[in-house]
Amino acid sequence: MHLASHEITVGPKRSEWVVRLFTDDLEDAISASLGGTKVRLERPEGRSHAENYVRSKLTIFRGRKALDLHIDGFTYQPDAVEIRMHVDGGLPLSITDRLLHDRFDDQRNVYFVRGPKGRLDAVSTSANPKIELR
Amino acid sequence: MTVPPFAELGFYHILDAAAWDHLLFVAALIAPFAPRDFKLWLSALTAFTLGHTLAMAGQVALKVPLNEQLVEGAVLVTLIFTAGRVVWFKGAPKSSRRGWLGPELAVAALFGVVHGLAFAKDLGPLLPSDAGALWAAWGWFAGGIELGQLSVVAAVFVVRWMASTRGFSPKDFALALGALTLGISLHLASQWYLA
Repeated sequence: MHLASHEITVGPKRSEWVVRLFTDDLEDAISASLGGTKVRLERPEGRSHAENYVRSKLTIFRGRKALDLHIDGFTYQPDAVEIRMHVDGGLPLSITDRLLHDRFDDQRNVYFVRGPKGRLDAVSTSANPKIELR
Repeated sequence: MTVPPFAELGFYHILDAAAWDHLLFVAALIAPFAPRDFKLWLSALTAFTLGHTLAMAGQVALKVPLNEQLVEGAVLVTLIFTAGRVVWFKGAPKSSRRGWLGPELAVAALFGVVHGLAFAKDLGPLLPSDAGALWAAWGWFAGGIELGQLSVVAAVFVVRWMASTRGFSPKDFALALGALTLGISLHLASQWYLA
């Protein structure tokens, strides 16, 4: 089974978001999306590759309004990369998460969400990539 | 109802056909026992789960630098010890048959600790930093491991029953299963050494 994780802390003015992906899985997926070009995320262009990939695979709505995904930081480690982001405002959020689903049929993206009413957990799969946080 | 992904991960972590060590270990651990001895084998399996889960939690929190090759070697040592013990005693030693499971519990917990250290490297980077979410993930993972082990136990007991209908005594079955797991374990150890 392939895994990635999202940790979202919902605040009244903005929601902080950290996504953690295995480095080799992400390199593999980006490489496939670039037509097979070898990608190494520790290189200087690694961050922009990762950001572009995440932006292309994550869409966020509040009601009918599409939200901008602000990317605040990127940490590379040989095992996993961590991308820190935020969206303006709190809940509700409607997320369509296709990260790595096109690459791995058994991909599960696990959401750990801490909202104003407590903790919420959810999972995005290739069959059901949509997450509704209310 | 969807299965929590960390429970699924724990379950398939045990049943992963590419990682023989877990399957062999559980098979060797329960080889001497009958289903009715459930207090004995269930406590040994739970000792493994606790060791595995606590070691992973400790390693994720403390990030002690470990030599991966040595950890993998230690996994094989515990496996060979468990299978070898079954062969040596032709089943369980008398103390275990009388209900004293000290060595089994210690080996099971140690195997869990060693394997938990090895797996922490793989899973650790994806774990959440929020304490509540982290504990929930650990809990589901441990539950998945326990269920995975129980499914291996169920399969072994079915084979044990089939063997009994063919005239195998419980002692013969334990010895055969112990010898089989020991042989595969020694092969894995030789592969590890050559690598």
